[in-house]
Amino acid sequence: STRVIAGIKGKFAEPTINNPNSGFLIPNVILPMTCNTKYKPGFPSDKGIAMSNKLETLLTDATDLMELCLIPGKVAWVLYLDVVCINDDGNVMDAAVLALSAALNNTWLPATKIIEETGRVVLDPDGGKKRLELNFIPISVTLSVFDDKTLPDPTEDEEDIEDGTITCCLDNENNIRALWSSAIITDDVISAALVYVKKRASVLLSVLKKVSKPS
Amino acid sequence: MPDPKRNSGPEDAIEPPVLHKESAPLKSVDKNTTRTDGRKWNELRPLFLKVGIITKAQGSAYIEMGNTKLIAAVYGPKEILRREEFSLKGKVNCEFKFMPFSRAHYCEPRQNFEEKMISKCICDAMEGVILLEKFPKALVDISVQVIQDDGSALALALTAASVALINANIEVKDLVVGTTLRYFENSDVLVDPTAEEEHGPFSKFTGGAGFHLAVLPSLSQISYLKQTGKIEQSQARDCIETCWETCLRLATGIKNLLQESIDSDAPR
Repeated sequence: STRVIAGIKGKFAEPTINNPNSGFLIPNVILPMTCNTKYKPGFPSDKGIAMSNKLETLLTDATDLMELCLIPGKVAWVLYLDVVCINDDGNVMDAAVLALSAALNNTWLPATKIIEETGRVVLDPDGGKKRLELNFIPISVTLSVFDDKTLPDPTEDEEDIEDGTITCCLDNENNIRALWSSAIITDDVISAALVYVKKRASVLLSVLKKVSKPS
Repeated sequence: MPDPKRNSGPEDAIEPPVLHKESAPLKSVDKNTTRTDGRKWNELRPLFLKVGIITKAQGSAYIEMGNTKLIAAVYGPKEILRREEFSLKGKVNCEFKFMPFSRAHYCEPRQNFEEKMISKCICDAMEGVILLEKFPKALVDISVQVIQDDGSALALALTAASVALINANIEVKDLVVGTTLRYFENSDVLVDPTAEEEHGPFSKFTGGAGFHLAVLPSLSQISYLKQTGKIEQSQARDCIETCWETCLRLATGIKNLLQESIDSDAPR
């Protein structure tokens, strides 16, 4: 019953000096007080910040940032990828990555026009929309570790008493994009976990593809 | 100001300007014509209400009115922090937040001035309705998150918060039902305006006034009233009456939905 909502909003900004041809992708995980009494009102919890960081490393190559640039060195898209948790019953990471991947897969950037007189970029409401191309679709699978046994998709009660977590992110071609482990485990546990992760990731990917709209 | 605790992105990001065709904002609307979404001037949008969807909260409500969707959660009564003064009456704390993608423009993850003000409004309204003497030295936390804002967010937030309180089995005097009304200079009104009809900076209409009214239906009392804009005194009274009737209409619907949810709950 963990529920999250992911939304993507765009703004314009000047690209950085180091990367004058790139746009920006800003992922953020918001765990408000609504979803669990663990989170205090007013400021972001450590868990949320850690998750936002993980998402940022995961999505570094997700899309061609050059595509997001409108005028090199002057104007580029900034895409704010926000994931808000509504109900936290454990394993928010998997839900967040799935929601975000589905949202990214269904992002349509509005057409833009450059006004010659001022050189400004404006959105053209009659110009149609362009789909955001993704290099890969990340899917995350989390397992709880208890001694040397693993339990997939932990609920909150299981997360409270676990020894550690293994989170593995695959993409749609079964490459490993990220792997985090916070437990003291042996090699075979990881290999066994990866076998499970592959199966689970394909199930999640099929759900994501069902939801995607073609146009 | 960049927030060091969040991934904030470039500081100078601006909302993308949209190429508009030149058109002056409208000043009035004809009472007899249908609105953009096909409603009459006094017709409410279809309502959807579901309680108990947040498993960890004592009470929760998800409410949808047309395209405006929001979720309210109630945690409590819980023990008050020792720093607070001892009080014979319970305390209420409310947090209201627009999700970053809920409005036409991007909402910062930190609470801004408007959200803090609405939080205080909900807090005041709920303090008047909850029987605070029943839980001294305790705190009730109400949290409202707006998933999508298509007008009338404040009124719906009041309604959702009160439904969540009832779902949390916290004793209240009555259900709180809220509606919004838009008044135009030619004396026409629109009940339950969408975001583009509502009185505010993003509206395509200008002038006139906006009313937010929350009512306790069984006790026939006003819980919260807010008016923005300019309106004559005689017209104001009529607007409040119209709002009141709409609230009563809405109240019967909400009470039926609440009754269904209580009946369908397994006995605890």
